Amino acid sequence: MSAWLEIKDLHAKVGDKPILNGLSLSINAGEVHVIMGPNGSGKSTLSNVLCGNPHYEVTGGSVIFKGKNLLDMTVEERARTGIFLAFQHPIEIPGVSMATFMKYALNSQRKAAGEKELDAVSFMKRIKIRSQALEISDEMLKRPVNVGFSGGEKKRLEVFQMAVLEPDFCILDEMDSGLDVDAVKVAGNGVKIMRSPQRSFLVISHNIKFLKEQIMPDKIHILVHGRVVAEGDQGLLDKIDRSGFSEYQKEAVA
Amino acid sequence: MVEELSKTSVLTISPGQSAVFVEKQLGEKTEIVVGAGAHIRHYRLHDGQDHMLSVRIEQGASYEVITLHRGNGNLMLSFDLAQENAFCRSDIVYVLHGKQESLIRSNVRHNADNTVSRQMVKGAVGGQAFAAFEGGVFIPYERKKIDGAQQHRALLLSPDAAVNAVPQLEIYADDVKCAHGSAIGSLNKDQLYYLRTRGIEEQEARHLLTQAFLDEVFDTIAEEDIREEFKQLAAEGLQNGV
Amino acid sequence: MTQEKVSALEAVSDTYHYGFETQISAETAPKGLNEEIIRFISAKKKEPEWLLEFRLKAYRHWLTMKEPTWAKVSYPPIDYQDIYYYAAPKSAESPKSLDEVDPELLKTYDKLGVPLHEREVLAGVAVDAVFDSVSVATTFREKLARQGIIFCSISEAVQNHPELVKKYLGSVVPYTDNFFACLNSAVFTDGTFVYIPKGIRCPMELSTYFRINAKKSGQFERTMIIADDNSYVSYLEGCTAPQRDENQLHAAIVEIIVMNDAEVKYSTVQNWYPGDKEGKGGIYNFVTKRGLCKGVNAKLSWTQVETGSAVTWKYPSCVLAGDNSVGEFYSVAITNNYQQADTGTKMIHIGKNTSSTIVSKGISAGKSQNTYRGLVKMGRNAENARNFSQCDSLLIGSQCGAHTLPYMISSNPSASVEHEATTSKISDEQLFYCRQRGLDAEEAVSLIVNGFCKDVMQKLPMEFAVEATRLVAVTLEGSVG
Repeated sequence: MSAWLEIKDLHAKVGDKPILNGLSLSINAGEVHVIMGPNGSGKSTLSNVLCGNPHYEVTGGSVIFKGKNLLDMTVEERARTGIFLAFQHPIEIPGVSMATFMKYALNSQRKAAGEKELDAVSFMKRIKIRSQALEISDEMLKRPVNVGFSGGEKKRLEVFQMAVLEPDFCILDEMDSGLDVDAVKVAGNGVKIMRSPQRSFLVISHNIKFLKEQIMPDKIHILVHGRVVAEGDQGLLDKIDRSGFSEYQKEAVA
Repeated sequence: MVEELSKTSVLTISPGQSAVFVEKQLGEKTEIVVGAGAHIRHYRLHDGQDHMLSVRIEQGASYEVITLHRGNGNLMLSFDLAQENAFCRSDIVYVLHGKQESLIRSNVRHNADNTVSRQMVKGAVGGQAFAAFEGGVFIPYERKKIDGAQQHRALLLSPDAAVNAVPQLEIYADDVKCAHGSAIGSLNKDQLYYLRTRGIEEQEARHLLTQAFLDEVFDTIAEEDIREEFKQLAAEGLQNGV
Repeated sequence: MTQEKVSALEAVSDTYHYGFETQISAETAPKGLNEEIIRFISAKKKEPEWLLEFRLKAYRHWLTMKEPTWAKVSYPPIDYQDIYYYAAPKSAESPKSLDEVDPELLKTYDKLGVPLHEREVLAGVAVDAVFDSVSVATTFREKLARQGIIFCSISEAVQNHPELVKKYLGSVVPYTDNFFACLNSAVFTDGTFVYIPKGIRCPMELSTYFRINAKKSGQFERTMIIADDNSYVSYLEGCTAPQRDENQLHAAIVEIIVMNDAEVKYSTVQNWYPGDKEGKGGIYNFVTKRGLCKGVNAKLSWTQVETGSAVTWKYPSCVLAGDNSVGEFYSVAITNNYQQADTGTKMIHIGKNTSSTIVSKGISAGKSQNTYRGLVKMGRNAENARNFSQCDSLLIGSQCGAHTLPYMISSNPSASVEHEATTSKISDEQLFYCRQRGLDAEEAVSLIVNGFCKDVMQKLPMEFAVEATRLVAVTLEGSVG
């Protein structure tokens, strides 16, 4: 029985620069995994490659998600299969309100799944329940996507989108970076609410406290030079907290 | 090292060279080629016959020019960003008074990928003078990673002064970031009032604010003596037309 | 009774939804243009002598004029002798009420989404529908007449309100103005006439729907709106045409007069047939629209969404003569495939304290060329006049062009003119972000473009805004690979 998400020997580059050099890892349904590693080790590249960002070129390996070859799919096909990326730096779309954006996203996903588009009332209901839980005001939903929001608000809106779209696999890229303590809590709460046996998470973060208190992962992967060099349970977090990545970096170079 | 030039008709900068030129007498026409990797700063006073400057900027080179135009003769400028990573800054200050009339035309052509252009044009027009500024930024088909910006700001200093402006963006490629702006108006009344409440005479306050308006360009001149000299030359060009 | 047949073209092309042709017998004047044709049109319309004279004067002047070439558009020479200058649906010569209108025509307008039957008019839009050359139905007329509002075809206005037409015809756009305006002055066949009396706020939006149907016919409508002191009207104009391989000429004039404290809002959604993907066919849209803010505190606001036509040449303008008068121009122009648009506005500041705002959003895709051309002029007496212009262009694909050509003329030191413009493309990051949420590339582009245009779309009346948003998506179909 193969895992729910299986990444095998993944190679990828940006321009001429190889970033992922044979990365392998697997995640089962309902699990929460964490990716850690020094700057430039390929964490964000991994999240972008999984989502199909055309800026990154896959040069080898495979990614199987729910039995499908992810690498053969377009960006939106992957999204419609249930992959969601909470962006490290959410992108501004002037003139398009968050509510409109979610309506388009949700309906295009439903259409792809052969479901009926949501009418205005059911859509608003779906939005409202989630926005209230995440302390997102109606005014925020009317404003254009990510334009003029603080870092914390943007991250909260990423969690909100995740809650609305109900994906099967969530990648959180530096969800907690640049947030104050309260905002980290709101973000973490969002993840807690979303956890379910049918949903897996891949969390990229440096913040040991955030990971231990809010995320409580099942497994931790240490990424160095585009490869997984160590794996473990929450105990590994304490080890990293004490001595950082230097031990792994040496190994990787050697 | 600052080098004085006069009425140059052809100037060829060898690759890699760095130089600062000052030129206070302009001939009819100047052609400049800035070789690969060269870095040139050029300060010019235009105050005579019609003049035409045409500059070609090659691979990785930068050409930065500030032209002070004092209302005599028309000024035509043409910049060809001919090879990749070329950079051009072509600022202009124009001051006109009396019955002066002049046309200032500038064309920046991004003929290679990854090229950047900047232009700040500031004018002060008094008396019954008339200035027309026509500034084009042109990006041909298929060019990539182009960044162009042009700003034109003009002050009308008297009831009979007039300015026409036609800033133009002509773009045939999508991988670009271009902006232009143009504004024609008068001195800020609140600022004038503020200075006068501090006891500065109106005429003097107007001078001060006009100078400050033009100094935005001059203050980018790194060499102090050149900077001060050009400020002085601009002040003369205004000739109390304020 | 003829039967409506959906043009075969519609079956092959999925993008232009209005490309059907209505099979209606039309009465046409012979092809070509000469004084006889003009006399024919004038006689057909039972026009008074002064109007025939006006037409003939214009025609004789037109013969001395040359087609303008300064716009950034190119098209093969137009053979002005190969056009029908008069085409009227036979049954529609002078319908007295909706019951007399050819049911085929009604069906056509139904198909276009124009609610002609008053009972179907939910939003309170009064509609004048111009089919080829003739105005076929004007709804809500009685209701409006009770308030003294005149809303009728210009032909009827010539018969019933000759003093008004005579006074204002050509007063804002003289027949000598330009080549196409001059042609229109000679051959205009119909259009809409609106008069709002003093102190009246028009209780509903007035609307005209233009439709070119007959083959090889030009459409030369003439619209006049007069808003008397302290009145208000919002006017909507929509247009479609069947798909044809040949180009068809549309040369209209809109003249607006705004008196003291009056306000006119003029909104257009222009969706003439743009030609096919190879640039074959489509409408030449050469239109002169101008309003005169004659009175003190007059206000004229133009909003246009231009998605159709093969070639557009159009500069809705405001002459701000009255002190404190206000001019506005909000424009979205989208071009795709081989479309060419050269459009913008003119704001002529004459009076004191006049102000104008220009917001222009140009989107070019495919192999199209999209030019903003604008003039802001501050006259010597335009004390404290103000103008602000914002012109943004968005490029989609590497083979299109976007051009920004503002002309700024200031002869008054107390006036201020400000223009800002940007040109950029849809960023890869924006596209990726939308697609990561499940939108396909086309949906993403249309969403981003609608966001880009929002400032202008918001100015449209509600029922038009919905239509315009949908048109953005339709126009951009196939623009992303």
